[in-house]
Amino acid sequence: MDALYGVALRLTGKSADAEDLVAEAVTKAWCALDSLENRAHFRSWLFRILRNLFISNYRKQSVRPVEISWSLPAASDEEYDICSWLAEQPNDFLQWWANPEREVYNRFLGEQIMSAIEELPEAFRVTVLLINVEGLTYDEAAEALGVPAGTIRSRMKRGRTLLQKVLWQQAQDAGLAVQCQDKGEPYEQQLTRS
Amino acid sequence: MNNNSHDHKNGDEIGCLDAIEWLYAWLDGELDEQSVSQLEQHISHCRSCFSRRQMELELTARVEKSSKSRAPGILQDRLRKLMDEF
Ligand SMILES: [Zn+2]
Repeated sequence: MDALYGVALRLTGKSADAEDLVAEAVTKAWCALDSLENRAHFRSWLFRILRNLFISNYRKQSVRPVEISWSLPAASDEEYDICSWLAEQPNDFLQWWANPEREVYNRFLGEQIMSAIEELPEAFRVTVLLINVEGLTYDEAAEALGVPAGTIRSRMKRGRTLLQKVLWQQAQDAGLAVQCQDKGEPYEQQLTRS
Repeated sequence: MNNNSHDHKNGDEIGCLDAIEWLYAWLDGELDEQSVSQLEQHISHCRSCFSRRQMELELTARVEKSSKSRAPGILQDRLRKLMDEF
């Protein structure tokens, strides 16, 4: 129930709308229960119903900026392979994180994580929230967002990288991060070496 | 995951690039058991993947804590009433 409400909240952006959406989805699911062939897919099925209702009833009036990339072809998501990942990595972030000054890092992260999440482009923000906060599986998130599960996987990979980039930028802006020149070779080189 | 077509000789040696792909799937609860043990084996002797795992784990935990939403009690009541109507 919390997950269903969480998804509705991410989609509509307003708690009142989220409540209505969940109530409608549950009613619809209840009426259509006979059409569900495999009860094991109940959760995914419920997310799909929720999403369909959202598209037909709420999306037009949603306060959230309508996410453009939801309608992009899946291919543009799939192209995010490990090479793109490497190119996007904020290398110094990991090194900075591994520094002994953990207290500074912890305090910073506690303060900045919400605003960093908010800065993510809609498609990545919603996907990260559905998976990491609401605890959906890739398949369930795929149903809720109407994209293939492979897209969810690549969005998670990219969403994490983007989040680190934003945090790294924020740390630099706050004067907390200095480039780690004494830490040896960049991450790509460590990777290709192994 | 693993519709990932990489062919691992002996089934137990993975490199850093695979380790990262698998790490991400693992963080999301999407990695099968056999791959989990291969991943752990890699991490046990790779310092950079070990640090990455620690960092990604902590970051994921922070994200999870950042905005957990609970269905309001009023919604629970509303659904209970709805169910009673059927
Ligand atoms: Zn490694």
